[in-house]
Amino acid sequence: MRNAHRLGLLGIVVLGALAAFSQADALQSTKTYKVVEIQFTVTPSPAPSVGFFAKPKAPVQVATLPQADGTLLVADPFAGPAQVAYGGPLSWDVAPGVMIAQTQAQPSPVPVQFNAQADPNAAYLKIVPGTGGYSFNVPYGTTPESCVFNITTYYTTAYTLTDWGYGTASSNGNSSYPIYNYPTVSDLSWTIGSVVPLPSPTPTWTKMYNEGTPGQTVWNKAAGVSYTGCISLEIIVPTTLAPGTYTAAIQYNLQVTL
Amino acid sequence: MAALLSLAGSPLAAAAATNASAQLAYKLIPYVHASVVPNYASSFGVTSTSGGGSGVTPATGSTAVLDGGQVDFGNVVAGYNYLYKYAAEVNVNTNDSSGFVVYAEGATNLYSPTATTFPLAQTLFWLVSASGNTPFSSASSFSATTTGTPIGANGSGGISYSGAPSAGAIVWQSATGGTVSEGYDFQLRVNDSIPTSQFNVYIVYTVIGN
Repeated sequence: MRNAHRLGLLGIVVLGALAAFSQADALQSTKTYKVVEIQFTVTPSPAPSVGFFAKPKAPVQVATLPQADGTLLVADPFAGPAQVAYGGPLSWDVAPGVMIAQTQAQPSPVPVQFNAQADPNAAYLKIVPGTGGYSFNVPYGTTPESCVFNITTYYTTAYTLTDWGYGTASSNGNSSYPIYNYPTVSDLSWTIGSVVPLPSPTPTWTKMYNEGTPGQTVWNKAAGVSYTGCISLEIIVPTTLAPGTYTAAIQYNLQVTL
Repeated sequence: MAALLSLAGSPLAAAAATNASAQLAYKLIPYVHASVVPNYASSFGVTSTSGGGSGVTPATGSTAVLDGGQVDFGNVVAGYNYLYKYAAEVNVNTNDSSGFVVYAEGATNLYSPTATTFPLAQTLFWLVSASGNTPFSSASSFSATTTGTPIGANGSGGISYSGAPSAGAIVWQSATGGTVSEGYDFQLRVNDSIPTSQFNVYIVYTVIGN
């Protein structure tokens, strides 16, 4: 009986110690993860019309004063009534209204099929794109994209949502524009909440990295709390980048407390 | 006599030969022939997916057969991306020395037997076949046609255009003619908000000479 009491007391002490320290170092495991793929199409900018590279505007001069003999320095080509070159209906190579057929071919269509099933973890991690989808045309410079997608998380125990560049590890990233290997500063940043119009105070942008686990913490939530946040992105297109389409793949991980 | 001999040896004695050139003008009638082969290589089909926890192992659907059938992704899970290798090969034969343009777009949006529809844009993508392709390689989205009229049930007969398809549907531009081919992989990025259902769509390829 005395030994049983001692065992019971020991058990209580152990449980108390676990309770005291487990809040900081709770064991977590990855319940599920999903990958968001965003495409940025960089389009060339037109030549600058202002600033250092702008061409100075030359004043337009028109010779209108007659010379001594009464002729103009430059004859006005548009003087007189407007004229249209037209030689009658027979001069048309192809009569107006007749369409020249382009040769074309249309083979049998390709049928595509799939059977969409529900995600068994949809209640825990759900990512839905905003109205603009996942593809953007971006100019050179810095462009914010507001609420590119919404993430909804929930779990029965305390949980953490983390992210990093897809397919990367802490020591071996897949470095390519716009997400570079840590600690190289990436050209893609994120923040939670809408940024159009720009809120006040200005949101804090967090750089995204190819870094693998443990990644960045997007948010921490308590047990049983459902939370939805819209993720806005800020893309920087350096002038040295060639026009084209670039892809950013971001992995979101739901880490739940065991 | 001497005078006669002299005349016979001169060029004037032979029949005068005449040469002339004729300019032949003709028009070569251009032609464009094209075919599209689904599942065009033996290792066609769904090869990989993304994410973790879908509970479904990706597998090519039963309606896909080599050099035909459907591009069948089989069972897919909302929220995950899929890559389908060797989905379609476009073969073009033309005498148009200026080349041609290939357009591809959906005859409709994604449709299901239960009449549920879902946007094709940002769901089904294409990319030129390459060994390094993944579910996250850069790809271009198919879209449902906005300038044409579907022919037949859900566009099974193709698309009728009054002009050319929209420029956004261009998948291949060639500056030369001849007999050429290009193969494509498809990506399926299944949105988390997609309804649980079977979905179908006809992808229509149109080749126009330059």
